[in-house]
Amino acid sequence: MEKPSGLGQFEQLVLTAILALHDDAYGVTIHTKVAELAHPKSVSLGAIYVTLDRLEDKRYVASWLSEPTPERGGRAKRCYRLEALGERALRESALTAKRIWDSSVEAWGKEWERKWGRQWGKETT
Amino acid sequence: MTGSAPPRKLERLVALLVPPARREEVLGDLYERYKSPAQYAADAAVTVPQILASQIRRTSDPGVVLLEALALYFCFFPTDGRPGAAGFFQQPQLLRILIQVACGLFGLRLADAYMTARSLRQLSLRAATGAGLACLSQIALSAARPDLALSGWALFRDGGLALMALSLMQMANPAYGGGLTPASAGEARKKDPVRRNGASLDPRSRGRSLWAYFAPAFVFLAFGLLFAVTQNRDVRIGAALLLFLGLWRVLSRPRPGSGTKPSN
Repeated sequence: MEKPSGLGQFEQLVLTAILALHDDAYGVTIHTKVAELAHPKSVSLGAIYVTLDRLEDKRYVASWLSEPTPERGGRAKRCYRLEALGERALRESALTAKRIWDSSVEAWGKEWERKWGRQWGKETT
Repeated sequence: MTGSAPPRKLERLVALLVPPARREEVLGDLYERYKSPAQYAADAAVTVPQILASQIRRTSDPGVVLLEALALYFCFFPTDGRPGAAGFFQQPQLLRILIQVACGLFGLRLADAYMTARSLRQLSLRAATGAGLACLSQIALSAARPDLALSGWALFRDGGLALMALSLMQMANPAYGGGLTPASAGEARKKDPVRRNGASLDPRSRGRSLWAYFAPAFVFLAFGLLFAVTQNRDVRIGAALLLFLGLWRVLSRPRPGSGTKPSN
């Protein structure tokens, strides 16, 4: 079985966006989702394309062209889906993030965890 | 989306700048995000250079880049009998050649990114872009530092030599002609009438013509002769390297049909 190499932070965001968007993952929607995940950092559409190309070369995602639609001036979308290797890489990254979180809570205490929980709650509402 | 479309002229300009392999989806995405001509232009100005850089990365083969760098280096090399041969490793000769090689390689990478088919016309255009940019760098250099620049007959002779070497090398080797990834080739053929008319988009699926046997033989003969005839040790090393790399590239070429399957 092929082992996935490590993911950069931006690659994690793009893969998460593709995972969350299911069948509607293409340039514009991925950009919107990544911008939402990366908040407050701004993200350019070009950076999304560059990362998608890199992920496709690593065989973490696969792409295909959809049918042209009038709201895009009669042009097709390039849709993306997560491949098994990409899913595995994302799962490993999520596990690492979880371990970082658990260690931070252990070191800084439950009060810090509650404080951050409240902060995140505010951000998401 | 406001329901209006970007100005046609602006869209056509952006379409010209986006590499053909990515044109369809990028223009569609920009169209979908359109709010005003200024926003569209700003969006395109940020997006297009990044796509171009990514396409150059995807279509650049390290072996091919090295081979072409060596070919350009020795085409513009001041060999025996030319002024400046003795002092090659001293400035300004080395700097002049490095500028020419860098510009030539940049031209070839750009041509690869915009290539749509491995046709004779596009390969000739590719070689002309590489050799042309290398020569143009000397014309630009002659304005700032005439003592550094190559000019007149020498520029014409070396430019012609570079054009010939690049043309023959890329025709000899099916790995040339980037532009197309196997994944994009199938889709492109369906979508784009210009590409549909191309003989074959995937160089790996192309059959070998008589020319495909003649060209490598000619390249090897030319560099073999250069190796045998020259008295200059550096040119000998260069010719031997080119022969070795060329042979390696031809022998390591993928067999027809062994390429990656299109992802769709």
